[in-house]
Amino acid sequence: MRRRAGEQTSCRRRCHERPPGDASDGSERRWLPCRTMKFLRRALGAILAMVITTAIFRVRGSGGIPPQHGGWRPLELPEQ
Amino acid sequence: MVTVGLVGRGVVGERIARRLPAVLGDVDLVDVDPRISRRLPSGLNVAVLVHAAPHAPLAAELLEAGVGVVSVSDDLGDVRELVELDDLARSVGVPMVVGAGMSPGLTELLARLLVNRVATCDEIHIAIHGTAGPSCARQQHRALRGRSVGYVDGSWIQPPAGSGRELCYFPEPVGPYDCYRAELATPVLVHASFPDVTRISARVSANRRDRLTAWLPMLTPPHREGGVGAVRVEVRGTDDRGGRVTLIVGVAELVATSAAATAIAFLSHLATDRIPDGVVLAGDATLDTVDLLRVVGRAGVRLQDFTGVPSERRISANP
Repeated sequence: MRRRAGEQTSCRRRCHERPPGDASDGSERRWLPCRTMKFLRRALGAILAMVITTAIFRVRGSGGIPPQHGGWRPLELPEQ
Repeated sequence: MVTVGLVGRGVVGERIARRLPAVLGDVDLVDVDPRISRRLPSGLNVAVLVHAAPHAPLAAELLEAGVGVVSVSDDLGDVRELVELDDLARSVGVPMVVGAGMSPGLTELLARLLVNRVATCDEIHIAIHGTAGPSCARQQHRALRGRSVGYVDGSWIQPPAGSGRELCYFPEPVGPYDCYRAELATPVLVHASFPDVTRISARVSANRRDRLTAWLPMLTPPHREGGVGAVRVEVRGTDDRGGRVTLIVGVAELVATSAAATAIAFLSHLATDRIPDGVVLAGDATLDTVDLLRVVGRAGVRLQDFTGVPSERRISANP
C-alpha cells in the first residue's frame, strides 16, 4: 500500500496526533510517546506474570516438610 | 577459708560475687580496685580479674606477690602479654588461668570436651553472639575493626575484621545470626591448646550497622548489660573408623552469667589446688574439663548439644 506525499509515517508523530474529535477544542493535552507506552505495557506485563507465577507457587506449592528430627538438646556430660 | 580478690565490679564481677559463695562454700571475697590503691590486700589466695583490659600489668604484680590469678581478658594484645607471664608464674610457683570468660574460656572447655570425643580433630570453629557489660561491648566494637586472626593449614592468616560472613545457628532462643571474623584472642589460645588442629576460626555476630560503624567511636553508649548471648563450638574430625564427623555444642545464656560461671569454675579448681603452676589455658588437656563444665552448669549455665539432622550418607575413609 502506497503512502501519499506528506503523510505522517513516524510512529512517534502518530502518537502525538490529537485523537479524532479532539482537534478543535484547542486544549493543551499531551500524549505519551509510543516508546514510553510500549515500555510501560511491558513492565506491567512482567509484573503481572510475576504475580501470577508467585500466586501459583504459593497456592499450589506444599512448602516442604521441616526437619522432624535434630536440633538442640541438653548436653550430657560423661561420667568421671 | 579461701580469700578471693575481685578486681572489677562490672556486670561479670557482680555476678561472680553473687554466685561464688554458692559454688565454693567457705570463701572470703575482697574487692581490689587498683584505681584507688596500688597496695594489694594481705592474705589473698587468688585474684580474679574481671575489669576492662589490660590485665597483664596487674597480673604480673599479683604473681610477684604470690597470688594466683584468673583473668577473663579477651583483648588480643593483652592475652598475648598474659601468656608471656608463664616464666614468672612458674618461678613463683602459682597458677594463672588466661582466658576464663565466655570466649576465650567456656569455648575452649567445650572444644576440649568435643576433641576428646573424636579420634582425630582437624578443625575448630567458634562463633559468639552478644556482650556482657559496657566494657565488653566496647571491646567487641574494637574487635570488628583491624585485622582478625585465623589459622589455616598450618599458618596464621590475618583477614580484615568484618569479613568472612557465615550464618551460624546458636541454641534457642538466640537462633541464627550472621557472624564475621574479628580481632579475637580465641584462635590464639585454641591453637596453643590444640596445636595439631589445622584450621581454627572465631567469629562474632554483627549486623550491618556494627560493621559500618566499627571504624568510628561508639556512636551511642552501650547498654548496662547486653541481652541473651550465645556461643557455638564446632569440631570436625574423624571417628574411630575414619569417617568424617562434625560435633557442635553451644550455650544460650546472658554473656555475663556465662563468663562468671566459667571464672567461678576455674576459681573453684584453683582454690582446691587442681590447677598446675604457670600459665594455664582453658583448653589445656591437663585440666579436668568435665568437672569444670559441671561447675559451670551448677553456676547456672545450660550446655546444649546439637544433634543435627540424621543422614544416611556418611563419608567414610574405610568403607
